[in-house]
Amino acid sequence: MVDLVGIGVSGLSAYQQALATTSNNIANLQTEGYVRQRVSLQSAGQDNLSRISLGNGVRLAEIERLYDRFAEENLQRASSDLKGQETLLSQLQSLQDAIGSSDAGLHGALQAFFDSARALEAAPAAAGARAGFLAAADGVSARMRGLGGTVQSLEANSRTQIEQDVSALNSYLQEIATLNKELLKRSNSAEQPMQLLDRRDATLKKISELIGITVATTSGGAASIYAGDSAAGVALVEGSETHSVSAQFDAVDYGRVQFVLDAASRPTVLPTVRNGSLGGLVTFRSQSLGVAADTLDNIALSFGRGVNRLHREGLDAQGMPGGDLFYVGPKFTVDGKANAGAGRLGVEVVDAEIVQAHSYKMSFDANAQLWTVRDQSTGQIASGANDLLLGGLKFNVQGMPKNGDTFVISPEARPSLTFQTLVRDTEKVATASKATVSSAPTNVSTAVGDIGFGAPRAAEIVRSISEILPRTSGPPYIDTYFSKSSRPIASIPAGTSNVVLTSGASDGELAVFTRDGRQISGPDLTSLKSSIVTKANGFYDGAVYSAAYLNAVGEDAYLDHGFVSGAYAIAGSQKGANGDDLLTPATLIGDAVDLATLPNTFSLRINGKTVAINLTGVTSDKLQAIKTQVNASSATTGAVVEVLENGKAVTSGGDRLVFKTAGKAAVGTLSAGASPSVTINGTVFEASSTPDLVTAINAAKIGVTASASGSTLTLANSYGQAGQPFKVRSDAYGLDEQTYYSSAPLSVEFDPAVSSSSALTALGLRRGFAMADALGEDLLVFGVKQSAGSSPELSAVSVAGSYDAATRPADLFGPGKTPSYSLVFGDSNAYTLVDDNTGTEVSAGTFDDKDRTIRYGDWQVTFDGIPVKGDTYSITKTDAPLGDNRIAAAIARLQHSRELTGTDQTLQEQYESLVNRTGALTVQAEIGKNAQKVVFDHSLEARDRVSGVNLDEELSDLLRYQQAYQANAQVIQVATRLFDALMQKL
Amino acid sequence: MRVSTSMIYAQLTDKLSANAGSLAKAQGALSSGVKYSRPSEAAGIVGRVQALEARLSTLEADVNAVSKVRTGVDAQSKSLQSVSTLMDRLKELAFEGANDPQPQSQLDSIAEEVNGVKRALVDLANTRDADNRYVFGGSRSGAPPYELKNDGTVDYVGATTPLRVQINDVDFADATTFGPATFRGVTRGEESIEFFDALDQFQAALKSGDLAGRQQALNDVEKLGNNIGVAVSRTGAAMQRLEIAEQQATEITTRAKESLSSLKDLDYATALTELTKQETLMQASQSMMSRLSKLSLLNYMQ
Repeated sequence: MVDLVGIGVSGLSAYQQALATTSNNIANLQTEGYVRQRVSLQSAGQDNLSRISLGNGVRLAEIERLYDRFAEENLQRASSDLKGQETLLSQLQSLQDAIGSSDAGLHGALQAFFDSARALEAAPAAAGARAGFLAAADGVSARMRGLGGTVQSLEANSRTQIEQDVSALNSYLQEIATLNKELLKRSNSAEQPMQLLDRRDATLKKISELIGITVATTSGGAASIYAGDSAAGVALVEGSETHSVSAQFDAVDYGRVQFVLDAASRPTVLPTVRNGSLGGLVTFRSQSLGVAADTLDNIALSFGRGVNRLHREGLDAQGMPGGDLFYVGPKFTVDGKANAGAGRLGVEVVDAEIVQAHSYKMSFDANAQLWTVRDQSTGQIASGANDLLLGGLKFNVQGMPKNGDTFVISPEARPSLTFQTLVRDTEKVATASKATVSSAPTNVSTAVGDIGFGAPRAAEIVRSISEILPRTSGPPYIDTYFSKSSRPIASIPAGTSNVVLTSGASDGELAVFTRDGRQISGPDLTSLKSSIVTKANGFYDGAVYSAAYLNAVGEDAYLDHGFVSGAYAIAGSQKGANGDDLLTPATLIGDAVDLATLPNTFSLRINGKTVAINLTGVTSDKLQAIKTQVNASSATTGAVVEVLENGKAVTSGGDRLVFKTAGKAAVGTLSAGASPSVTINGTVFEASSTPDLVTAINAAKIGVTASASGSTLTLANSYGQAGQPFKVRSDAYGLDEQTYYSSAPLSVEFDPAVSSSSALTALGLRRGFAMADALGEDLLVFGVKQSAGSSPELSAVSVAGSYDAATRPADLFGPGKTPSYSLVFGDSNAYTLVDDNTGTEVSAGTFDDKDRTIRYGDWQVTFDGIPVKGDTYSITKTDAPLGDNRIAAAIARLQHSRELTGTDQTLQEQYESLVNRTGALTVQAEIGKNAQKVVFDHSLEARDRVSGVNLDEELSDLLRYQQAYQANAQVIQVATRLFDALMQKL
Repeated sequence: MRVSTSMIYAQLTDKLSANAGSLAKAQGALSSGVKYSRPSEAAGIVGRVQALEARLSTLEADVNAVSKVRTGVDAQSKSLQSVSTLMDRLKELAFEGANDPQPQSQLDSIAEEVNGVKRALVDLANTRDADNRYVFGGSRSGAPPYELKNDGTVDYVGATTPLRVQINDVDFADATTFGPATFRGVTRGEESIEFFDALDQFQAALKSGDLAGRQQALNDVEKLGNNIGVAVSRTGAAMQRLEIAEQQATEITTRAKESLSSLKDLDYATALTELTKQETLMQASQSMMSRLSKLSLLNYMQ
C-alpha cells in the first residue's frame, strides 16, 4: 500500500520549507541587496513495485536565488554614475551659491569700489567721497576674503569628504576580500550560502557608489574589483588580497588630487577617477574649485596690484606719496629644519608687482660657494653667493651653511585670503598725481599734457650683464663672452651699482649708451650712429644719437653722474688667517707700456683730475718721467704711480706702470721733553733725536719712509709700497694707534679734450667703463675696436667685471626729490627733454601727431593737441594735491582695463566668466544627474523585476503554501482514519 | 511585469519629494518676487544678472558724475555772467581812457576803477562751486588759482590741465577749467600777454598818461571781452553736452532695467498658475500614496 502518511509528511515538510522561504522573503522586504528566493518542488519519485506506479509524495528540489548578474552589474554602474553626478551637482551648487550671489559675490563689491572711485574722481577734496572710497575698498577686501574663505572651506569640505569616502572604500574593499575568502572555499556559486552572495552584492553596490569599478566574479562567486571601466584597470581587490587606497592633495592647486594604491609599500597612481562620489568630488575640484580659487587669486592680485601701482604714484591730502592701498599677499614661510649648517634664510618681497604664490627650493653647493633657488612652479632658477633675486623676492642667508643645505619656501596663504585694505585714514587716500605738466603761459597752442606713470618703456630685450657675468659680488669675474659685433654686449639694468667693466682684450673698448641714444663712454661713434642707435639694438623707438655727454665729467656729465671711461679699481679687504683685515689699496697694474705708440704729449684724468704729461725731449726712461709728472699731482689726484720691472718697483728703467690710491701719511710733532720713539707695524723704534729716529726707521726698510722737519716726524709709504696700510703708534709724537690707509677707489681715464683712448692702451691700461652710484635708467654696452688711423668699428669684445645686483631705482618723483624737466618743441615737431637740475638733455626726438605721447623713464606725457614751435611744458612734482583727481580717475578707469588681468578681460568680466562657467557646469551636471536618475531607476526596476520582493506575490504564495500544508495534514488525517477504520474491523 | 513592493514605494516617495521641492520653490518665488532664491537655482543666468546689475550701477554712477560736473560748469557759467558785466564796464572805462586830451586826475580815477574791477575779476576767477572746487583752477581744484600779490599783479598758480571726470564709458567732461583757458590773454604779434597783465598794463598806461598805451588798452579790453564771450558760449555748449549724456544714461538705464527684470523678476500670473499646478500635483501624489498603501492582499486575508 502506498505510504499515505509518508506522502503527507513529505508534503508537510516541503511546504513548511516553502512557507519559511516565503516568510524570509517577506521579512527581508526592506533589506538592501536582498535577493528574492524561491522554492522549487520536485516529485519524490514513484513506487515501481507493482504494475501501476504511484507517486511517493514531494520533496524540495532547491531554494533558488533569483539573481540576474547582468541586471545587478547594470545597477552597480548606474548607481556609480548617478552618485558621481549627484555629488558633483551638490558641490557645484554650493560654489555657485557663493560666487553667483549678488550680495556675496565679488561683482557687486568691485562695482561699488569703482563707483566710489568715480565719486572721488568728481569731488576729490570732499571728505565724504574719500570716506566712501575707503568704505568701498574695505567692502571689496572683505568680500575678497569672504569668497576666498568660502572657496577654501569648500576645498576643506570636499577634502574631508574624499578622505571619508576613501576610508569607507577601504573598509568595503576589506569586506569583499573577507567575503572572497569564504566564497573561495566552494567552486560553485549554487553551493554558496546565499547570505554571503547578498552581502557581496550589497557591498559591491556601495563601492560603486564611491568609485567606478569593474567586477569579475569566479564561478564560485568570489569578486575581483578593478578601478575604471574594464578589468584591464588597476586591481583594488584580487581574491582575498586588497590594496588600500589613499588620497593625495596639492596645497596650492586644488584641482590636483591623486589616488594612490599601497602608498606605504608599492605606490601606484590610479588613473583619473570619474565615477562614484569620489569621481564627482575630483571632477568638482579639478573642473571648478581649482579654477575658482585661481581666478579669485588672479583677480585679487591683478586688482590689488593695479590699484596699488596707481595709488603709490599718487599724493595724499597732505602731499605725501600714497602707499599701497591694499595688502596683496602672499606671505612666505621658510622650512630649513633638516639642514646641517647654521644658515638662516630671510625672504623679502622686493618687487610686490611680480610676486607669485609659488613654492621655492633653495640649496647650497659648498664647493662652488653658490646658492641656487628654483621656482617650483615655473622652473626658473637664480644662483649666486647670497642675496638672490627671483620672482620679485630676495633670498638672503645669514650664518654659515653646509654643503647640501636646503630651504623650502612656501606661500602661506592664497592672495584672496589675505587681501586687506591698508589705508585707514581718509587723508591718506591718494587722489592726486605726484607729477604735473604745466604749459608755459606763453604757449601758442592750447595743447595740454597729462602725465602718466607705468612700466618702463618697451624696448628690445638685451641680455643683462648678470647673464654674462653671473657672479655679482666677489673678485672681478672674467668672461669670454663674445657679442655679435653689431649687437650690444649687454645691458646694465637701472639700479645696478658699483659697476666695473673692462674689455677683456687690450685692443677692445666699451661704448656705453642710454636707451635714448646718449653716448656716455667710449670712443666717439658719431660715424656709426645710424647702425648703432636702432630699435633692434635695444634703443627706444625714436631715440636720437648724441655725443654731448661723451666721456664728460662733473657738471658736463650726463645727469652730472660720476662715470669713469677708462680703468677703474676699488680697494680690497679680506680676512687674514688670524682674523685681521688685510687691506689692499685700489690698484691698476698695466701691461707693458708701448713706447712706440705712446704720444709725446697726452693728458690723463686721474680720479677726475686732469694731469698733463709732456715727454717732449725725454729720450730715455720715459716711464720714470711719467711717474715723476703724475706723482707731482699726487696731492690733488690722490693717486701715485710706480714703475715696475719683473714685478718690482724700480727707480730707473722698468717696463710697466702701476697706479695706486695714495696712502695716508702719519705726521706728528715731538712733545717737549719726550724721548723720540715710535711703533710701526709692531716694531718699536727709539732714538735720541728725531733725525736719528728718521735714520733708524729708513735703515730698517720696513716699507715706510720717514722724514723730519725740525721735531715734526712724517711717515709715509716707501717707493714700491705705495698705498699699503701701516699701523703707527707714538705717544711721544702724539700719534694714537691708527692704520694709515686710503680705501678710495681709483680711476684713470684719458682726457677726451686732449688725447684719445689709445693713450690708455699705450700705457698698458684697459679701457673700460665704471660707475659707483646706480643710475635710474638702463645702459647699453657695445664692443668697439679701432686700429690706428682708422675709424672705430663695432666688434666682438670679451668683458670682465663686477657689479652689485640691481635694486629698484629710487622714485624720481619721491619724497626729498625735486624733479624738474623742460619739454621744448622746435621746428617740424622736434622736441628736446631737458633735466633742469643738471641741465642734461636726456632725450630728444620727433613728436608723433597720432600717438601724441612723449616717453621718458617710467613716465609719459600725452597731449590732447599738437604743440607748436616754441611751446614749452614743465614737468614737476605736484605741489597742491588737494582737489587733484588724476589718480582717482585712473583708479576708476581700471574698471575697463583689459591689460590688468592678463586675460584680455576686465576684472569684472573675468569674474563673470567664472560665474558663467560654474553656472554652465551646474546646469550640465543637473541635466546629467536627471539623465542618470532615469538610467538608475530603469536599472533598479530591471534588477527588482527579478530579485525584488513583491508583498502581494509573497502573500499569495503564503496562502498557497498554507493551503497545501493544510491539505497534506488532511492527507495524514485521512490515512489515520483509514488506519483506524481498518483496525476497528479487525 | 513584476514590480517589487519597495520599488512602488520608492517611486512614490521620489515623486512626492520632487513635488514638495517644486511647491516650495514656487512658494519661495512668490514670496520674494524673484524667480529664484538661490543662485544655483538659476545657475545659467546669474552671471548675466550680475553683469546687468553692475551695468545699472555704472549708469547710476554716470548720472552722478554728470551732476557733479554740472555743479562745476554751473558755477563757471554764473561766474562768467558776472565777469561779462564787468568786462562791459571795463570797455566803457577803456573808451573813456582812450580820449585825448584829458586831465591826469581824470585818468587816475579811471585807473582806480580799473583796479577795483580787476580785484572783482580776481574774486570771480577764484569762484568755488557747491563741491568746494575752484572752478578755474584746473586739476588743482583745492586751492585758489589766482593770487593777488602785494604789488597788485596777479599770478595764476592753478594747474594747466582741467579737472577731467569720466561721465560714461567713453566720454569725459571737465568739471573745472583752467584759468588761462577762460581768462585768455591777448597776443600782439609774437608777444602774448596774460589776461590780468593786460589789465595791469592798461592801469599803468592810465597812471602814466601814455596815450599809445591807453589806445592799445582799448584794443586789448575789446579782445579780452571777446575771449570771455567765447568762454561763456563754451560753458553753454558744455551744459548741453551734459544734458545729452544724462538723457542717454537714463534711457539706457530703462532698457537695462527691463532686461534685468525679464531675467530675474517673477511673472506673478505664471507663478500663481504654477503654484496651483504644483498644489494639485502634490494633492494627487498624496492621495495616490494613501490609496496605494491601502491596497494590500493583507486586507483580504483572515
